[in-house]
Amino acid sequence: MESALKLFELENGIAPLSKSDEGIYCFDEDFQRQQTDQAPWRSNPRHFKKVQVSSVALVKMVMHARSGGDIEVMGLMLGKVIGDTMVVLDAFALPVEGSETRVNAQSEGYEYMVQYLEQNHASGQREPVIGWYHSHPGYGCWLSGIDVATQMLNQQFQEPFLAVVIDPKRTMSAGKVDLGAFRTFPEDHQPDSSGSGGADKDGFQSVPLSKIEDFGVHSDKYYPLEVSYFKSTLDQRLMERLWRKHWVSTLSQSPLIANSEFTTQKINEVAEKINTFSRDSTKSISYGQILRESEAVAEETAQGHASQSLKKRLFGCRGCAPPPAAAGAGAGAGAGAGAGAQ
Amino acid sequence: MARTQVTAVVHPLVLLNVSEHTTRTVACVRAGKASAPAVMCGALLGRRTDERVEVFLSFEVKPGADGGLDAGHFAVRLEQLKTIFPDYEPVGWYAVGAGTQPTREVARLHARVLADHPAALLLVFDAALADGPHGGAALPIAVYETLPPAPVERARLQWPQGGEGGYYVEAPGGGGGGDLVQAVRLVPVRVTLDSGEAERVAVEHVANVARLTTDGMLRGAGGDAAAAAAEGGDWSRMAAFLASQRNALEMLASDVAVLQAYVADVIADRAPFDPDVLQLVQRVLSSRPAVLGDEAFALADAQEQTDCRLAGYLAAVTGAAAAVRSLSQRANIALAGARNKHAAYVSPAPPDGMFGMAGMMGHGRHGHGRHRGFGSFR
Repeated sequence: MESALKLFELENGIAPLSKSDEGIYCFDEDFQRQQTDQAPWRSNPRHFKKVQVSSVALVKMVMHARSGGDIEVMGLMLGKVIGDTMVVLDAFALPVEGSETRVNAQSEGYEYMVQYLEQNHASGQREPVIGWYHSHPGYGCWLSGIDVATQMLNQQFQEPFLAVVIDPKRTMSAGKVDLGAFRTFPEDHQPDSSGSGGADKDGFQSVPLSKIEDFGVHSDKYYPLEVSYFKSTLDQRLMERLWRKHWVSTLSQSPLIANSEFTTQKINEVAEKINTFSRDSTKSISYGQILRESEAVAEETAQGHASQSLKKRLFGCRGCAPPPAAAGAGAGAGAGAGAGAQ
Repeated sequence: MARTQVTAVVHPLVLLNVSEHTTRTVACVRAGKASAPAVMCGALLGRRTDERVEVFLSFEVKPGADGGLDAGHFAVRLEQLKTIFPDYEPVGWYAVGAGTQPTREVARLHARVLADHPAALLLVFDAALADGPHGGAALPIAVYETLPPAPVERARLQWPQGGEGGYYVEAPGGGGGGDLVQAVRLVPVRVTLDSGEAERVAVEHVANVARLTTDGMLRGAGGDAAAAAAEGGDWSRMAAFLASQRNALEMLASDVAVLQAYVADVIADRAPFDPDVLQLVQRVLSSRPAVLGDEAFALADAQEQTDCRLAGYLAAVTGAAAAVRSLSQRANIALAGARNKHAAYVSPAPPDGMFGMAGMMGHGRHGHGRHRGFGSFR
């Protein structure tokens, strides 16, 4: 009786769900079986083309990656399959450090994973594991040799399975989430001549010099999937509310200071690459890559500087700055008038 | 009663997590895949100091059979998360409602939770998110702390409760006969929002880049995914950055305008005098020129400016070098082709590298003269 009442309450008033929210967020075993029974990815190694990541999964993964600092961390993703799209609905961390140093990280986390999923089922979350994610702090989103091996193994036994790589450092310095999603080809697969291997379609995958061989050797063994992000109606309304409070941290950020070390590292990296290139341009570095990297550094520094000078105008010195124009005008005038009222 | 005011600092991840929990539960109930739970609830993890409780994480907990939270489930999940985030401890629990006031069921559950965790906070998430007169602006959550039990008239425990003094819940093991019962009081605490740097980027990404679910996604078509990618791709990162800064400034301006109107009203005797607010305004204003004539600051600022320009300059030089390189390559090919249709192929990336550009040009010139020397290429 009481639960019937609750249901009524749920449907009247709480949570303005759209029809599509319902379909995405509700896990339907029958539908899922129907999607996975035919296993079209067996016959077509490029069957999956798109990845949809939910808001909560994204934030969880980025924060977990960030919490690792310079250490690679990893975790698993929960979700489902719709046609050629893999939908990531949730994610959880594994108590295992990076895959770069430990070859078979997954087996260590296995027990944890099984237990975790049990608890998920108990509380009514029934999505299966749909892939794994790990972080590459500072060296971009691509799969290393070990990653490729891990992913190949998983694709043999855990299909459908997806590999996601997040770079928390680049995410921070660029102010934009840096995330890549990949699937490997089967071992006997002949790379097609189109050559759209591990590197992005636009070719921008800046890999540090120390890793470039690892990158180059394995880059034709996997392909990237197109990643997009989604949120529910409730998320959307929540974000609107959050923004009322959240703008403060947008304004008070200091990317220059937060990223100074990483910026230095990147400039050194560019310098090293130029050196290598001018010694021997047959190495697998293209000049375009160096150019893009240096442009990225410049842009990020410019961003940081823009926010710095904005703050200086807002809070810095009275009278020493010219009256701020355009965007700053409202705030500046407001604060000034406030001072007058006092 | 003199007591330190607790502030609850909530991270956006917690809210998104609760939002996902709600959406998933409602979706499954509607599709008939699950029965409606009595209360949607979960645990909050974070750090606690005397006056500040910071909530970083949350996880859902199913209600137990006995009307409390499922203790076994809670313990296992907590253990799992502590393996990965050893710094966090349980600080309270959350419940989803159609407003930010606790209901009778929530209060009852809270009494059960208190038995095990006497200091637990209660967070109520307003899933209706109605754009009411007060809504629209406020955070859709309220956090309550529990005051120690004190004797209260029994009548005050009757639901619906609400209003000034907070909410009364019978204390565990309290009771007894008579008109007075031992009851704890739930009082709302100050809530602020905080996010780490990475969290901020991720949340902004959700706010600006992530799109609402569409029916297309369900059919696996996801037809507008490419369009959306193009949409996001066309925007330079600088433009996106400036847009978000601008939005933040607009918020600042509107908040300052509100404060200004309030102060004007107080002066004109049209609004009640609130010492707290005015003190805050005063404090902000008096500290406003944060730095004034500080040489060290000016120096550091100038240094940052120089660094920034230098980075731009380096990028420009690199760009120019690239342009020259590509021009020389093209010229090389064009010249070779013009002189002799069967001219030798001249490597566009000569082994002496990009800084041997003069050499490269020379190469080109030599190329046509000595093309027989390169004949082996063809």
